Amino acid sequence: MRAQDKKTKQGSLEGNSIGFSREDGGQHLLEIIRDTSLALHNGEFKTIIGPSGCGKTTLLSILSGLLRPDRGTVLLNGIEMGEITKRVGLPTPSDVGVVFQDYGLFPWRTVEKNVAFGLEMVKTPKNIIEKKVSDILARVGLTEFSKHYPHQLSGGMKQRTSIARVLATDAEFLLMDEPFSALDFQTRYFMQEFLLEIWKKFDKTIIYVTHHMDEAIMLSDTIYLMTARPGKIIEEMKIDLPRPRSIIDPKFVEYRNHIALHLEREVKNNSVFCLEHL
Amino acid sequence: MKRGPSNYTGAICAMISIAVLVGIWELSGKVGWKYLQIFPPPSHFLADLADNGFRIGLGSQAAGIPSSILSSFFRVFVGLGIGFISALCAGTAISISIWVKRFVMPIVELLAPIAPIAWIPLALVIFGIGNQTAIFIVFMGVFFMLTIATVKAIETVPEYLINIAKTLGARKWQIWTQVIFPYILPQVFTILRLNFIAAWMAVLAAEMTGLRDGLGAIIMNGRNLFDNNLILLGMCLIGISGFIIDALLKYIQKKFFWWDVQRM
Repeated sequence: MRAQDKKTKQGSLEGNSIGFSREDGGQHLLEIIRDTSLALHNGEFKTIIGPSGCGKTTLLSILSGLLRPDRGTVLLNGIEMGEITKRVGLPTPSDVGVVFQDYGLFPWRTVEKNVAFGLEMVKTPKNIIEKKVSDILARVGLTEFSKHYPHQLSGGMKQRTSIARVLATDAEFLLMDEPFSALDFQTRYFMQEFLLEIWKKFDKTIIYVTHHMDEAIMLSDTIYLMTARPGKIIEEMKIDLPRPRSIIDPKFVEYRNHIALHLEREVKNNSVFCLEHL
Repeated sequence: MKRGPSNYTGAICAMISIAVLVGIWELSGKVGWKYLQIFPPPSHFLADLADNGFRIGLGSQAAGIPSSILSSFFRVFVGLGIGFISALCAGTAISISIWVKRFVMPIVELLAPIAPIAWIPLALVIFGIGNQTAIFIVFMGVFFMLTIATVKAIETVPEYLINIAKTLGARKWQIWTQVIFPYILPQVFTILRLNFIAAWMAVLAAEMTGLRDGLGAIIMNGRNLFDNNLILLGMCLIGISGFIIDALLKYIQKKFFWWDVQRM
């Protein structure tokens, strides 16, 4: 397991000038994402930050293969997304896993059965599933809860289960859509540490969506700043701070001010842009 | 899931209240209530039953009590089972294809409000006197409502749950078997339980009007023989049996379809 994790991968997930519109009830087209490009390479941790409703979730759906962009292309390891899914006959490529804010656990399955879901879908032999699931549960610290059902878990443990479920599929890219925003402050803090640990231990590549500036700076190597309606990535910002990071570090505060200023400027240019969540 | 001691408290209170009711009924017999003839207390009809060797009816047509109960149970459960499975199939077909929905849904919605009892005369002509008639009536009593409930339940499956399954590698049919069905089964089964009462009454009505055996037939026998002991016995048995079936359905729900998707 370890040896396999350590092996060097050269995966990449790229979105090139993505555009996406949706019908707005009547004849009008609502432009959700405009001309947005981003690239994710092996081992990176990148964050997209922007206000709620700016198309972050749509962008993640496009990157995961759930939605097709109207314009632009998504390339996974250099190959067009549509081609990959056509070739393997699956709705989305197995190299990309998604973690949602609402956990998305199946209430009729125990923790271990939830984690086994992805493996069961591709007809993995039973003994391999068992071994893999118990290994992953041990590594995320859920072994004693393996027989519990989701309704018996706290929010943090639910999200840990749903992360474990993605880890079990061996997806290299984890797309995380505000995974911790339903959690209380304390739990959120521990989950951020947990995620960084997972990121290192499992050698994953993560793109993380949030509307929290502190969370973005705390976690990522790079932050994409996104505007609202239509959503567009307007700046790519490198975070050059050693981990573990502290929110009272002067450099941390500097980054925070920069993001806040930048977004504030956007507000002045765009009246629909709202700052209520920042 | 477990409610602890309150379960016992509820059961004890239920027994006390039923005991009090039966006690008052018996007592009114002892003090010479004038409706005693049409309202014989339990001690009367039970003694009468024991005298007849726990069989009901005359001569060769007599049937044992257990067989009456079992035939009613059999009819209800087979009808409910067939209705449940067919409604799931129909609801799925309607949800998959917009054209099936456009053509079939109006018929389902048109037939749903027809009381199952209304099907009795037609069923008797088509299937004759026998189990088929009763099963058909139960089926008609639950099928349309359950189909509508299935379609509505499928609409409530949250999109993110389906997306999650897709990103985890589920194919179309796996999304149905592993996400949509498990998600809707508790809801649809609850509707089944609510519709059971209507189906139960329809079976009894069918047994009173056409079929010669079953719990409903006991009451009709009593009426024909001017035997009020038999009528009261039939009524008690119907009450107890209905209660037992409902308890069985609740048990099935708790055991197999216990998850509450609303709480997720």
